[in-house]
Amino acid sequence: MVIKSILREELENSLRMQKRYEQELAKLPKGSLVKRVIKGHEYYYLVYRENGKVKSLYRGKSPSKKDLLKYQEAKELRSKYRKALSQVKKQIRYLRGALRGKEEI
Amino acid sequence: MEKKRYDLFLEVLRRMGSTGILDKLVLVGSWCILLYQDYFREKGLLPSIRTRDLEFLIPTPPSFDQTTNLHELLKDLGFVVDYKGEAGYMIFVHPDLILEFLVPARGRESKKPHPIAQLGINAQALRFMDLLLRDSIPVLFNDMTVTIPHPANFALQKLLIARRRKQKDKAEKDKAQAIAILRALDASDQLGAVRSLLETMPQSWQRTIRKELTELGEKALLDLIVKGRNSSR
Repeated sequence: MVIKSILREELENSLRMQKRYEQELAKLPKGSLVKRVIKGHEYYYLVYRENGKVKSLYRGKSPSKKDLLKYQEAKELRSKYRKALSQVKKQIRYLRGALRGKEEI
Repeated sequence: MEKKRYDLFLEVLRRMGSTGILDKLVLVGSWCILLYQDYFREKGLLPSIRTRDLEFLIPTPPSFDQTTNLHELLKDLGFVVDYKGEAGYMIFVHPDLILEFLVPARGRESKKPHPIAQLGINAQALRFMDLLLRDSIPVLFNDMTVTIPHPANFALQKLLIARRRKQKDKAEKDKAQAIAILRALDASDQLGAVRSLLETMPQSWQRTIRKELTELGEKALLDLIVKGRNSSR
């Protein structure tokens, strides 16, 4: 009984967590800032996906340090949040399975 | 999953320790039991079941030496901020751990979150938390000093709050943890600490604890607490 209540609480937590990670991912700046070397010159592009297609937006020869940091941090966080989201989804599947029975969750 | 959770728990403690925050907090909740296992030295005395909730109690007024943005400190570990309940208590969530912050509730009952400006967070004020702060003990855990409630205080507080729980399952969990700790205290000949604490409590609290133990069929354990082992023979 106690275990079941813990599992139920964990499931509620995981469902809420899934929503929060999705919100945080949506808040991150879209795309990655990439450097391309063309004819010996460096150019920066913001590469992102739109309607399933990869798009590049020219961002100049030397983007500001602030921009570089912003996109670098977003890239790292995006990777962490995606990993966390995938883990949470696995937990939800596991918890739903463990709680599946006569009682409704 | 348990290993990952444990490693994350250690990393959270390490980061809090490196910024001096950990010294000013008391670890409460089911994660305490992990540290009690070291305290009692003997394995198998205590249940190893733990939820993801990692709760820290902040003595009020807080005495942090410096301002630390706790979210910034933990963000790169993958923690995101969430708000619990209608009152909006701030929590840090991660698939492996959920960090919550508590303060002792004093005066008129209020559900309003208690701001802790030095950490950039808010905390939930709860009753009987002062009991956990009283006699709290520093323990060495993975080369870190972590403050936890004395097991006697932990156990009696669990019995007191169990009665106030709206969720029956949670109350059952509280009682089970309390009994496990009391048995571990008995096994290590430390029930005297429980007796001393019980005697300092208001009569109404003492009555609640006696009633809980009796209803749980733990009359023998209650007698041991109240009268001591020699008298019960």
